[in-house]
Amino acid sequence: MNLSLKTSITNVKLDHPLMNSSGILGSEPETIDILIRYNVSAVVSKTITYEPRKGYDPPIVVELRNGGLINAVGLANPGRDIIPKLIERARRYNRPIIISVGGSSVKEFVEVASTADLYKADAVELNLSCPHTKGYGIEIGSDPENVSEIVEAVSGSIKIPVIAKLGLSDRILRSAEKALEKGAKALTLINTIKALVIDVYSMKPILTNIFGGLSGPPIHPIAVRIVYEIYRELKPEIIGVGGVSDWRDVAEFILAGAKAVQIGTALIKKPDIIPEILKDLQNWMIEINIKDINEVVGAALKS
Amino acid sequence: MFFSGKIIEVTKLSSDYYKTDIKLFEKISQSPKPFQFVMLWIPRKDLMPMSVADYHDDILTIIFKVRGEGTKTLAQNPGFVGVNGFYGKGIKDLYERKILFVAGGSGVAPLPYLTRYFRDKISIDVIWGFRYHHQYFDLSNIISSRSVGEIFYVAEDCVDKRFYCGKATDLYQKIIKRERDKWDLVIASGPKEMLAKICEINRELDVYVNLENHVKCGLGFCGSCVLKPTSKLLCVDGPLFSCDEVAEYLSQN
Repeated sequence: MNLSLKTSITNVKLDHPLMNSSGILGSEPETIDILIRYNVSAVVSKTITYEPRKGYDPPIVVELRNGGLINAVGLANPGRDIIPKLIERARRYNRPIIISVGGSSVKEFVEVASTADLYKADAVELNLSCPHTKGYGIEIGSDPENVSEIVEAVSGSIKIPVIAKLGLSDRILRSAEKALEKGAKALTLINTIKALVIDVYSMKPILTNIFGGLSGPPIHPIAVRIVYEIYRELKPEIIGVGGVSDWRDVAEFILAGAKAVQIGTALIKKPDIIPEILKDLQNWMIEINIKDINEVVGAALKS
Repeated sequence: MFFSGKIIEVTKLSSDYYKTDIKLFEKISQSPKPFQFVMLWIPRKDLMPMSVADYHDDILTIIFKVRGEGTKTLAQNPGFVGVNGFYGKGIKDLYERKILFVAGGSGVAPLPYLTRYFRDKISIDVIWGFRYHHQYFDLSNIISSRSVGEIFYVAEDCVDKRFYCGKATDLYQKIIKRERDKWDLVIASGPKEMLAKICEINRELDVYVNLENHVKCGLGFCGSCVLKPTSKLLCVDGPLFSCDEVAEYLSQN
């Protein structure tokens, strides 16, 4: 039987729905090679800012007993000059590349996105939701007016598609609505969730930045809920992300309305997880009797 | 995984080197493999990659040299610490090998656990080089196994007659020429320049190098420890590599 896992996001064709989430490698050409070995259908770069950023001093991550991970890397990256090199490396493998763009002002977002546009990345993903870097992320992204302004400015200045990555907030629906209205062609939902971990003997927060972003299995049901709600209200193209650790988690995202899915924490713990999930998804497709994965995008919302 | 721990004691081994035993509050289901490392957390001060120098009964031993704020605090016994690990692949099958272990400075740290792990299943001779004679300490005091044969000490300052005068690589070059059939595996551990040299000296021998690099996350996602221009990550693919695997990295300054 011919089972198709092919999909697309903002007209970027993908061999299958699984890519890495931003922040997993992808800030240097050498680590793009690694992502390709992991079998991603598109490479998503680490968030790139206008100037290089050193990020926080370690500890930048803590592995939790519940399978979750809390990180506060602090958007460490080499700055916008790396963008052409990242794109060139992905091109060698003929793989689509999405540049994740960060900024502390509208102008910075526009500048970095324009660089990605100039060197013909396949799309940009605006990181409007980093939970641990002051002035760069969720503080911007949880205010629908800021989202509106940034997406409008970026969409108006570049030709390649704009994807807005939003994080958990009370006003995420409004932010999503604004982003789509101002030109975003798809949404990535959700980012890590602001969290804290304390060592109970030294009685101190472990991360240098104190707060970090929680990822991994603990956030998965929350992410599925957000995808479901946004899909129900707005029917946009969605990339689901948050706590995927097996094919079931991917299937849930798709049924909730996602056309593609990003994997982060699980990819670190198990580098060969993508081929494994793809195989399992095909078995699932046989079981539920579909030939094309796109047939069930949003199927959980049908009455 | 993150484990809380408590320092049982800190022992000064020589002018610059210290050894500390850390009691972990939880049982770790899987013992480390030789050359694996931990990221040792000094609360609100520092996080440092450290070789597992020894491990038994939930007690982790670290051998370190005072270099910065973190190691300075560690030498003064900060009490509670955090241990993230065990990271890296390490090595598990060295049975029946005749090993020459060449260490530079604190590169000697993995030796006690290497000998404990394989016990009398391997035989091992050691060259340990350091810069100053006062950095010397007797390695046989920290090694529990009988697998260690000869230990050669090398000091760069050439003031103490007990030590070979020069660098670890000088002595290595000399004895590997003279007695090359005595060993079937060389493991070198120390600064990058030393490892590059060891890899050059004899290309026919089976040589592994234990690398150090800038490690931040330890888990393979931040990319800090990528061994450019290769796409190998020290923290997940290493820290032990064959010379061939990292030749391009070692040839760059």
